[in-house]
Amino acid sequence: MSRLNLRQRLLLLSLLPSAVIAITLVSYFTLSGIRTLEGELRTKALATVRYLAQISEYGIISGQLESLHGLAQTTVQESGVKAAVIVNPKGRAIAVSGRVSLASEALRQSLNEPALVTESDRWIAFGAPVLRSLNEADTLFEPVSTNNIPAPQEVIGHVFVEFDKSELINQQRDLLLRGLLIVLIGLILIAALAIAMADSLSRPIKRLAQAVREMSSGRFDTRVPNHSSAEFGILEQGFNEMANHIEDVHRSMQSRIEEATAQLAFQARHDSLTGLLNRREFEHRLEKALSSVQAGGEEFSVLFIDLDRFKPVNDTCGHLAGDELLRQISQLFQGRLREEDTLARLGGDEFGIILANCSGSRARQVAEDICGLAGAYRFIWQDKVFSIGASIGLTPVGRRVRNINEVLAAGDAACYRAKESGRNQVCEQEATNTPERRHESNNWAARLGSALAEDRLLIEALPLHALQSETLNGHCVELSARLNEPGQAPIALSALIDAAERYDLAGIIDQRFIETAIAALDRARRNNKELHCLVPLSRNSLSRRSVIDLIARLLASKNLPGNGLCLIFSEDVTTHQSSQAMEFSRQVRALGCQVGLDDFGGGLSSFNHLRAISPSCVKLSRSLTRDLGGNRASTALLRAVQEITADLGIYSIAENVDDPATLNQLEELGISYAQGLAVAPCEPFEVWLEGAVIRSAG
Amino acid sequence: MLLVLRLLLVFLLAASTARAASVALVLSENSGPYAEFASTYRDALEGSHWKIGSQGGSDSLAGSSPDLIIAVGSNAFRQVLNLGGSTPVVATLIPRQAYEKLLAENPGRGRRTTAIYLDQPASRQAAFLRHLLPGKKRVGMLVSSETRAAVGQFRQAFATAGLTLDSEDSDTEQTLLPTLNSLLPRVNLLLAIPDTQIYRRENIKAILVTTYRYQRPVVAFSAAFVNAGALAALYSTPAQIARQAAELTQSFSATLPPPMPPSQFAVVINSNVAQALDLNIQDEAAIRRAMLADKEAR
Repeated sequence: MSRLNLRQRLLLLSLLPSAVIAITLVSYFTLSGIRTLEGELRTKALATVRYLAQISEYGIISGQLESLHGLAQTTVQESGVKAAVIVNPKGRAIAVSGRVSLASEALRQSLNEPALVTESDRWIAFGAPVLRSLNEADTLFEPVSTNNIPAPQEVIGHVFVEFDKSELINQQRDLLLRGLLIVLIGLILIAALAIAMADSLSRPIKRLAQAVREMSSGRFDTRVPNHSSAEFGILEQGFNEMANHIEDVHRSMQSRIEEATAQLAFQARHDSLTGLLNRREFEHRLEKALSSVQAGGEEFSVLFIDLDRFKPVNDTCGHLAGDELLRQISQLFQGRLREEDTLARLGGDEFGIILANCSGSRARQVAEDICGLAGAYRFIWQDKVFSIGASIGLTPVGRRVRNINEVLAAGDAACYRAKESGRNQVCEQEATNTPERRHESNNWAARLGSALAEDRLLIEALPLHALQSETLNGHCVELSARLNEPGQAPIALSALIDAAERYDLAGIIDQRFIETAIAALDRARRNNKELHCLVPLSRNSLSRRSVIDLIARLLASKNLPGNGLCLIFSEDVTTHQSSQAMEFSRQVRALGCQVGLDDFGGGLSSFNHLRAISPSCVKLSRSLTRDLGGNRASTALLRAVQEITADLGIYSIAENVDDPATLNQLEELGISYAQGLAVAPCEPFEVWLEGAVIRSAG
Repeated sequence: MLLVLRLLLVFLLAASTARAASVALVLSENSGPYAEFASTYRDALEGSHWKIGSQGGSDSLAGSSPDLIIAVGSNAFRQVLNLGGSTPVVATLIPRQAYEKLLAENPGRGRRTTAIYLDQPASRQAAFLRHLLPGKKRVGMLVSSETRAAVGQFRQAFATAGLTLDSEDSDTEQTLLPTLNSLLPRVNLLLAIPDTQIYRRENIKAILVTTYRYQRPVVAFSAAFVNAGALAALYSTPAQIARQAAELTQSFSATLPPPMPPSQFAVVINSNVAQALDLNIQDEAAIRRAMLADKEAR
């Protein structure tokens, strides 16, 4: 039962009882019909035999055998009668008609009333006594007798009638067949009804089940036709409503998933901070652009931009400021670019630009513009102002470029070169034959580390030349460094220092500078020479107690006064880390050392801290001295700076003075010292110390 | 006045003592024709000096001494004879053969008996047949040893009436139907007379069927016979005989008249049988009237 489906169960439930009832009823009526037939035969037979007995009476009494024979023949002619026998009281047949099957013994028996005599399969025999009938007579004429008991009727013979049962059997068979036929037809009708009923019941359920199966397999648009009535209708309607609801939910979920997917896709292609494309998408577009070029499209150019002096912003003002800077810079760059150009943030403070259909001088111009924008840009965070710059590598992409890796390598190398050559400038590099650098730059920490360990950090001397008479006695020198790597050009400190600061290796360089300077001072004192060493310190060293301790310890160990040592840090440090800078300068002066500011005049707040820091010297910003020849404004600015510093008793130092003309101008302006190729070439510190200081006269 | 009263009293006393007589009714049974007889008889005696002293079976006679015994039915007469005694007996509702047979069986000591028979006189039968079936002259009759003696009487009476009697003897069952078969073709009708050897309950049907097969009407002696299938019957009812018995009682003195046939009669016709035999028959009343007129005319 449990293995059957609903339709089969319904069929079973409706067919089985009705079939049982139908069969029972029909067999009951058939059997009773058969019995009735038998009873009819019996009644008819008894009537026939009784009648024959009555009409035979006179024949027997009168002994008219012919008439008896006629009676027998008449009886046999009746339907179903097989034979008729009339016997006299002695059991002798006196009239016979038909084929008699009764035995002669049966004919001799005496009967009191009509009765069944013998029955076989094929026939049935009934017999009846022939009684002499008594007439109602007048009692007055009765003979006189002593006993008045009426005599029993005299039996004057018997009649026997045999009936053929074949007709009965035929009728019974007909009845049975008819019964079976009725059962069959009834069952077929019931079956048809039951099937129709089971179908009508199970079809909506089947449809619902099918719909549920489809629904569960993910076809949410599945609906069932709602044309059933009553409970099925409610079920179907309920299912459809449920399906609608599920479909709605599914659709809204789908749209949310699509939204989220789109967002993810956007995020996968964009930088979350700036909203620019990310490196992946940049490379993807580069690839596309490259393939279009290879297919005969216009050549284009790629700019790789690395922001200069980004790290100070991050370090002093936190990442929020750095992030804001990156956002502003992005907008700045975007503003300069055309619609078809692609600006992407490649990571950190690196940006990439694809200048579509733009090559040669036009590309160069765009790069220069961007560089200028970055250089002129001032980032203001709270009360602090930062100047940054951009080192830009420009790589034109032509048909000969094989893959984007060549472009990436060339751009990276060009950018690196720009940074190396003093930042905020544009370097161009063809995509082909690019020296591999990228992987090395990734290894700055190891390179610096090993360079320091192997003493490949070459300390250099940048001698200062006094331009005025009222300057310090003795030799003045600024320490610098250059990284010597086998088979490569030495790397300048300015290029090194960003990386060093990034990987926290600047402290080691600072330490080397301090050690070298104090050792030089010691040596000069022992040789009775007067020496002033300007030591540039990284911004991190200002907040390190260890630097002060180191200076104190070294001075103490050499028993040196600190006045020959001037520790220089960037002027912007005073603006962003003013308290640290002031504390540092206080400690330094407590040791008897001097403090100097580098890159002075680059920021607008340069003068604010002069009094608080009270440096003994300032290195003028390149921006003040660069265009000294033609630019009157620069000259005025420089003059103002000079006047202020001079007024405060602070020596002013101009760096990178490469030509004598500038030197003269500086001298005229009253700048205290000059530094650069026009004064003295840069040379290894030890060499300079030995040659210029120790061996000098006086 | 006193004299008148005295005279009346004397007359009444003299009448009662001189003429008071009792009659005993002995019935074969207390029902049916016997009860009808008793009732009519009692009514008929009303107002006479005869009183019914006792009524009932033969045992009702014990302890009484009636002046006359009326035996109603053959059995009653037999019982009265068996009881003995010398009281005169009138046997009623009895066939002639039975009366004679019982008397023969009881050759009593000269007892005074008489009877009013059930049997109709032959002349009356002849008249009846003549009026019933005017064209049918040949009358058949079956007789046994019981009735053979009456044949002559009938033959004479019929001859007087212009009828021919043809009789056949049959004493046994076996000979009855063959005799009938031989008789019927010769006659126009069969006249049945009371005969306990021929007209018995067992035979009546066979006789009727046989006559019917020959299309011969049967004229019988009782209403029951007519019911069974006879065409008609001439008979006397118990009431008629009771009235006759009452007359006889009232006229009784020392002597008894000889046995007599019933003085009054009735006619019954089975019209179904008449129809079946295709006979056109007058109604009963007309026949009776014709018979009575015939009698007076004679």
